[in-house]
Amino acid sequence: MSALLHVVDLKKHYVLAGGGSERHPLIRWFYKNLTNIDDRPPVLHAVDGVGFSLNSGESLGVVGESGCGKSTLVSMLARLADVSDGEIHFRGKNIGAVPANSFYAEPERTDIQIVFQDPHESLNPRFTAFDTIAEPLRRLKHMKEKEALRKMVESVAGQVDLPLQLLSRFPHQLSGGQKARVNIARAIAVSPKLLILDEPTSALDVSVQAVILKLLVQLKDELGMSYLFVSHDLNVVRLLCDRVIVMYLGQIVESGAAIDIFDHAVHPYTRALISAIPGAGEPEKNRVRLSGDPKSPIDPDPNACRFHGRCPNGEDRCARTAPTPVTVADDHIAVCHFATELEKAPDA
Amino acid sequence: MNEFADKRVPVLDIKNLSVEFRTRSGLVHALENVSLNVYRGETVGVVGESGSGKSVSALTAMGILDPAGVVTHGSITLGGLDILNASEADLLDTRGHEASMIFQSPRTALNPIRSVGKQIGDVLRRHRATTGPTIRDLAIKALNDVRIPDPERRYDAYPFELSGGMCQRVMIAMALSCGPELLIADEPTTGLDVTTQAAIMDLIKDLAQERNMATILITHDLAMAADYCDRIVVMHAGHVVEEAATETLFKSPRHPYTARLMKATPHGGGSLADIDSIPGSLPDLRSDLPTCRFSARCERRETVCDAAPLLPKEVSPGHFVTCRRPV
Repeated sequence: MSALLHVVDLKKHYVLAGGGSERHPLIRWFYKNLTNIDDRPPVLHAVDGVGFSLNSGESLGVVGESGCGKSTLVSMLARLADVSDGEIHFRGKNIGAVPANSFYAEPERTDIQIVFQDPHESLNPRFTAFDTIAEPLRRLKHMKEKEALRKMVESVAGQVDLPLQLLSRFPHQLSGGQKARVNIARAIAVSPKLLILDEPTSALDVSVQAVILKLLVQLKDELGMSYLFVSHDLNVVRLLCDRVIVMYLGQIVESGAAIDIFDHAVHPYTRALISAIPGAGEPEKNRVRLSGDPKSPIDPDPNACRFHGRCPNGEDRCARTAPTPVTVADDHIAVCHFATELEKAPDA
Repeated sequence: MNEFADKRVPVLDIKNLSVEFRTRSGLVHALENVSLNVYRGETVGVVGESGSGKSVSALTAMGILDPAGVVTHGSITLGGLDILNASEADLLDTRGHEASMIFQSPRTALNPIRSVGKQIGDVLRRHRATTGPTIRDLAIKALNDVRIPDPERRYDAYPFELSGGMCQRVMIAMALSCGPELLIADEPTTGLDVTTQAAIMDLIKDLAQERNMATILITHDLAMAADYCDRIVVMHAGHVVEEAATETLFKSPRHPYTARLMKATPHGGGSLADIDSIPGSLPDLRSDLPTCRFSARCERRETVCDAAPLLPKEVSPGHFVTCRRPV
């Protein structure tokens, strides 16, 4: 099966103020050409060499702490942000080469849709539910005829179980669960091939979350979409995803089938993440706890493991050489020097 | 101290509390007949969906309810002080000294233009009759107690220089700096990562044990309450629907709402078919409400459910259920 989405060595670097960028151009030229003073501005490595593929009909989970680059990755894949380096192949075409501000004209704009994080914040407060769902149909499908548009919006609302009498309401007149449905309806209105879900349930109560999750699974089967599911709620990812990638400071530290990741995690970071899930019922001595905060993503040392310093089993080697991906099992990759040893060790 | 030495005198005792909010669109019956108590050395979880009255209960207990809220009924005793009839001066002495609260989103709860050490110093200055350099030492000690690395340097840091987890640690340091008897943690880990959440919750648990404090943990996350609480109070639409020791509650939830809530929460191991949502939503608290506020969402409802008054019933020792037809 050919991959629907194939991402190769994707990078997003933000050049920050400071260093040479604030100096006079002449002085900058002088420093650069006539001295050996390092005058480059600091660079924030938001996403640093991420590669994966997503087959059609599959749902892939992306997990990691805030600041690990999940959202930057998502905005690049949805072509809302430009790529610094690397390629995004969608059905064989490198859409990463298209600038983000002209991507709306590409046919792939319709095929890749995104459900944004907070349904309370991501709806236009001056659009009714009808307008919100109709907007992509007007813009991307160029549907002009009122009657056809109304029929289409109503059928999409039906797909997400949104009562039709709510279509004339504004976001502030809707409950959280209803807003989430409007958000999903807007994204699926143009029948995308790939739906990116950026923490779709994190702002919802558990009682509502369960309905939305079931709705998402049902829609995926009905419409034959693929999901890229970004979340920090590992219990939700476990329920919804076939495969999972775990990110840490802009890089993938572990990837594999969801069952492998949750039951036989190899990378120490993944283990800590899983053991931090509340209600896992693990005895206290088995818990892996991380100390401190992640390192800064600004100019990270290319010759060190980024997890070094927080890692419970770090050694000198981790500070000197960056680890390379190790295939621990079929389709299960961990980026750690000790992957093979850890794989044999029982779950910490 | 002495009056708390007896474990059978609760640090905080809320009895039959009813609170209403007067709003432009009508009277909101936010709390009705809520009773809640917490003893020294125990952690009580208050669990419920948003809008169930968890935070209103806590705010009322601290005497910081919004002026629009009116207590229509009930009593609150906090460390021997009758909160509802206490003078503002007494309340000011109590807050921060005998009872402290930590809020969700620590970044907005801290003063953005004052260094965190000085903010902790403010609390100490108000409640301890010390000034000058000792305040700095005490604040640094407080930062050290919540395991902030390099507290001398962090003393001068501003909230924006610290990560979310660090800010929450500062909030905890501030809350505990005067050694309160009671700590109320209102969703202390919302917006934090799972790994940070685990670290913060472990910290709260350790400190509570060390100091033998009474702790109230307000959360919407049943799984988290299960991990850290001794006793759990489940709230729904301004009512306490069930109260039991954690183990009892999870083994045999008796109120239909608690049972449904547990089924709706994703947990390790299960599949999507195992989770089940709760039909309907919280009732509009402005309207005339039925005796049992869950009745509209409940599949076990019968005519007997509408008969007033509905009072908590002790189904087994320490296990209270407010339901006519418990599971």
